[in-house]
Order: sequence, then structure tokens, then C-alpha cells
Amino acid sequence: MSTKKGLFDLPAEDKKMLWQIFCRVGPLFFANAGPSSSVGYVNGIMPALKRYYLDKGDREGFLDAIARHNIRYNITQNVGTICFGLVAAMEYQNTQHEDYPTETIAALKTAMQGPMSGIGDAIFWGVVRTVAASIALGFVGDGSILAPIMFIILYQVPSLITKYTLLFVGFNLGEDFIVNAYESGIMGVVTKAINTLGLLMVGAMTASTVRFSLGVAINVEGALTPVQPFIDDLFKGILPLGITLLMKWALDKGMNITLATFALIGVGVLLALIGLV
Amino acid sequence: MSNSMKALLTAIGYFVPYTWNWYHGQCMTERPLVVATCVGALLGNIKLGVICGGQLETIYMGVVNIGGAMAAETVSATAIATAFVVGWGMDLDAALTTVAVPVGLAFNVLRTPIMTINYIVAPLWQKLADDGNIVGMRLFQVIDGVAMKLLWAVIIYFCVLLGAEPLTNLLASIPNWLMRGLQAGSGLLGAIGMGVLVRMLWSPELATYYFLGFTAFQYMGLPLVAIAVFAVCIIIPIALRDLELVNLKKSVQNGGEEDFF
Repeated sequence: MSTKKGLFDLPAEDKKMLWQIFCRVGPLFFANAGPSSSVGYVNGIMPALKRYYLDKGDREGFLDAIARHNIRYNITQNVGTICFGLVAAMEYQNTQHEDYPTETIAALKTAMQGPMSGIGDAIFWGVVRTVAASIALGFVGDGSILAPIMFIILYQVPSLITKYTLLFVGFNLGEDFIVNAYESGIMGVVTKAINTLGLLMVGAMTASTVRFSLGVAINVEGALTPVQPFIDDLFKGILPLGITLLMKWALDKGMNITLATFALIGVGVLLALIGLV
Repeated sequence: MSNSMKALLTAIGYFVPYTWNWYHGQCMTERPLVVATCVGALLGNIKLGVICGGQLETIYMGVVNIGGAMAAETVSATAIATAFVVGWGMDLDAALTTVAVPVGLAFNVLRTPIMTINYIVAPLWQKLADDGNIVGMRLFQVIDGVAMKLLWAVIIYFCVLLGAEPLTNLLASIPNWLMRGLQAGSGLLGAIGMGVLVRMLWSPELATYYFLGFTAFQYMGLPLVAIAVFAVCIIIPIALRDLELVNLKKSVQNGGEEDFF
């Protein structure tokens, strides 16, 4: 006779940590002074990092973990907590195993962003918000304050429930999955698979996030022809791709991220000034 | 109520729900329906505020920040337009077309340079992260977030103080090349975040998958969810083959039976 572990049946210590994380992920997109949302993410996952590294005296591991999570993150907030739960479980596993591949944590985080955001955006921004707004707009009438109140409540109830539940789902998933991977000895295979998935998704996200095209037109046989279509015929998106890989190279060489940000915006304005974009 | 008082109240009616929204996990309080109600309430006519909010919410129903690209800056457009309607008695429809729309578009472009100003403190964040300063990082998050939103509130204050017509004239006078340049620049900014990730996950053996993902999106126009599914479908067989290889190696090492024929 086995006792099926309920979703929320976790040791008190785990629950406390997850609750702390839940309280800290609200301001995920509040401050934006690092790679996208890294400020929010590091602050959000801090209870896990503190518990698994700092409180155990592993200051170096703590600092490594912070650096590891100081990267781009963007998942719809109501469903993003699944990532926090998973990462918390993975960070714990990292402290348990010497050879734990830490870049896999970043890879998994990255790989999740696309699909989870797709689901989250569709469900919450697409459906829940629109339904809540439609119902609330019905209360506007000649100015009833019930309208905005209803809007907020109708959205927040499903949002908070999902946010809280998925946090535990992620944590349970992480624990079970990774423990099994280690026990059956297939950790290396799993790691490679996750890293591959992560890099593939980064490729897709490069295409979806980085936008750049030339707006200039040149005089060809008396007619003004735009240049960008020719570049597109060569390889669609070659400019954003090239710029991203250039950024990778620059960062490898130690370029400062802030400098890179100003540089790119400056380049954009400069190119517009001379008429290329 | 003096003009500057009305402008101040507008700025507050903008700042409070806007900050609340982003501090509490995007609870929708930055949407027009709520912001307009707040501005309307502060300017003395909450009912009119709600009506403005209803109209603006309907117009902006499709304008959402999905994946970082937004068609218009709805919050400031709502605050300013509602201010003119409630505080100065501007006609609602006129406010929607002549104020909300241009403000929404112009402020959308303004987001990039303002965000750039925020990056000035990025080295401070980096230092806090490198030092593992937990309290410092949390304070940074709160202060930086509030400061940036205050900056926006100040801009809103001056815009409302300016008045409806001078504002629209000012917006129309922004040089086209500057708008295009900022838009181009903001499109490029994603390359940095991507560059950091690529750097982290890059390895010569797996490099091909990066280009696979990129091309799948560019040429096949597949949504990220679909690409993820395709990716998993490719990667699982590969992983299973890797597993076979691992087991093969194990059995060869153990000098075991030749059971792979």
C-alpha cells in the first residue's frame, strides 16, 4: 500500500522556501537594469539560493548560482512559477551531486521560456484577461466603479491560483525527474538533451526577438528599389543573426553589457540618420 | 483646482496603479479601465473616469505586451487622455483620437531611451550580484523600479501641464529619423540578451541546433511552442540513441555478452 504524495505534501522547510519564492516573484519585471528580467529572477529565486548555498556556508557556490541566474528570463508571470520550482529543485540537486552539470539549469530555464510563455500568454493574456475585461466592461454603464473592481478580481483569482499551484508542480517535477535521472545513470544523456533543446530554442528566440532590417532604397534603372528584399533572398534574418553572433563574440571578448546596450541604440539612431534604416 | 494641481493628481493617478501592477505580478491594474478610474477619481469625477476607461480598454483590448513588443504605450495614453477629459472637459472622442493615439505611439518609442537611462545603473546591479548582497539586490529592485516609474510620472506631469494642443503639436514635431532610429535600436537590443544565452549554451557539437531553431522560426514561421515540440521530437530519438551508446559502452567495458547482435 503506497501513500500517493499530494502536490502540496512537502516537508515544512520546502514549503517555507516555496512560499518565500512565491512572495518574491511579484516584482519579476519591476526593475530592468540587467539582462531582461534578471533583476527580478535573481531576487525571486534568492530563497532557494540562500537555503542551498549560503546557509550551508558555500559562499562560492552562492555567488556562482547568482551569476548563473543573472541571464535573460521572460515567462508570463502566472505560469512562470513552474520554472522557479524546477530551478529550486535543480539547485538542490546541484548541491547533492559533485558532477552536476550546472549549465543544464540555464539551458532548461531558457528552453522553457518559449513554450511556457506561449501557453501563458495564450491562456492569460488571450483568454482570461479578455473574458474578465468583457464582463467588466458590461458593468461600466454610466460609470460604475464595479467595472474595474470586477476586472481585477476576475483576472486575479485564476492568476494567483495558477501561479501558486505551478510553483509546487515545478518543484515536485524537478525533484522526481532529476532523482530518477541520477538513479538510472542517464544524467549525461539527459543533460545533453536539455542543452540541445535550450540552444535550439535560443536560436528560435533570436529570430523572434531580434529585429533589424534596412529601410534604404537604391536607384536601379531609374526606379527606387528597396534593398532589404535582396538581403532576404540571400538568407532571411541574416542581419539579426549576424548581429547576435557578433554580440556573442563581443561578450566573449569581455565587452560590458551596458556599453553594448548604448552602442546598439546609438547604431540604430546613426543608421536612421544616414538613411539606412 | 489649478492646472498644476490637476497635472500632479494625474501623475499620481498614473503612478500608483502602474507601480502596483508591476510590483504585484501584473495584476492588470495598469490597464486603461483601472488607470482611468484612478485619474478620474483624483480629478473629481470617478464615473467619467470609468467611462473613459471603458472606451480606452475597448480600443486597447488587443494591445498587450507579448514578448516585449507593444503597439502603443497604453498606460500614459490613458492617463493623459482621461486627464484632459475629466480635468479640462475635453470631448471624449476627440481625446481618444487626438490625444490617446499619438501619445500612445510616441511614448511607445520613448520607452527605449528611457530604458537606456535605466541601464546607467546596470554596473551597480552587477556589483551587487557579484558580491552576493541579498538585501542590496532587493533594495535595488524596489528603488530602481520605483525611480523609473517616477520618471515616467514626471513626464506625464509635464505633458498634462502642457495642455492638449501644444502636446499634440510637440509630438508631431519629433523628427522621423529619430523615431525610426530608436525603433531600430530597440529591435536590436534583444541581440544582447540572446548573445548572453548563446554564449552560455554554445558548444561546437550542438551549434547546428542553434541555426536549426533560427531557420525554423524565420522561414517556417512556426510559433515557439511548435518549434519546441519539433525540437523535442528530434531530440528524444537522439537521446535514446545516446542511451543505447552509453549502455553499449557499459557492456563492452564489462566484457559482457555480445547481446547487441
